[in-house]
Amino acid sequence: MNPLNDDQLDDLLGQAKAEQPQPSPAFSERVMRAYEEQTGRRASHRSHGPGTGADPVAPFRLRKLLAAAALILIGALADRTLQASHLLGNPRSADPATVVERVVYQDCPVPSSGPGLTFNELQPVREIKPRVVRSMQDDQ
Amino acid sequence: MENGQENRLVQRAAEGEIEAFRVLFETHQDAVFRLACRLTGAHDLAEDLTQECFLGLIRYPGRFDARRGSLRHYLYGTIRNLVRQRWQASRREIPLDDDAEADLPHVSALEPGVDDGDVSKAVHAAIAALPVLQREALVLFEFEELSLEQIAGISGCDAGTVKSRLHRARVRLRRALAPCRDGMRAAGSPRKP
Repeated sequence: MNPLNDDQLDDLLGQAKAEQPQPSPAFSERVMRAYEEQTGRRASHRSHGPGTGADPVAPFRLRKLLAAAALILIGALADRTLQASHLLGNPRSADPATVVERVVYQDCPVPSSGPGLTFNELQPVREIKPRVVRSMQDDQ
Repeated sequence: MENGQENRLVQRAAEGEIEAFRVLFETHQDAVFRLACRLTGAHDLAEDLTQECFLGLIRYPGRFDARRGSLRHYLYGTIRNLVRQRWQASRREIPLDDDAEADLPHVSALEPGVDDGDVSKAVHAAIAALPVLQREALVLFEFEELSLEQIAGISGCDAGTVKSRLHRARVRLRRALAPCRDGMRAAGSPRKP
């Protein structure tokens, strides 16, 4: 069959164009209701701050907070346990820099000096006997 | 309605002002539904897509830029994208713009004295059988009376591509609708691309 020419096709398209599809009568109402639901839901979300009883997402927030607190607690306990085991396993691994050492000049002959001793009368020290004191007991 | 005025209405509707939404909806719903119906060929689906189109406009009002074009054309573009999303969801491969002749619609020869409704149905069936890109070019040009440049803006291609799609669509329709020759009335006003 021979195809239509342009004018014939335009005529057919014109006939089809004259027939406009229309939505169903309830369509407008349906869309307006959907709009109200959508905007109402968003407004509801905006109006409910955290902590209000009617907030639909409050239980989820509470669960998240509890989970976060539990994680922090577990972390802190684990940290303390690790530190304790570390100290027990290496009791003498303290930092050498923290050991306090004192030098006590003891049993050194001290020249007797009167109350009127001047700087020129001081004698040079003949002998030094240093003793390292590592604890209070050593110092007694 | 001016683009700036429409933009303000969109913003107000997005903030929950129902009257602003009603004005927008009543202004554009017929055209948007018509396009959806002609692109999909399904009345119920066209209603769903039209609703989705308007609610999407309110959900993301910032996507409409009044400086880039009218709200009507923006809504046309949205409908086009929604239709294509549905197609992609329902079919794995879409013959967007192929020239295969195997899927030409079978329009039976009309009996003498048929009414306009039968011819109209045959035309819509033939349009529905066009490849998607050819169909949207034809519907936007012939039925919504947009220019090639406007269609190019909606389809995201250049005007030459639209013209080419339109030409191929008309060639297919001329062959597919040949049995309708007897059902034609006096020639209407032709609109050449």
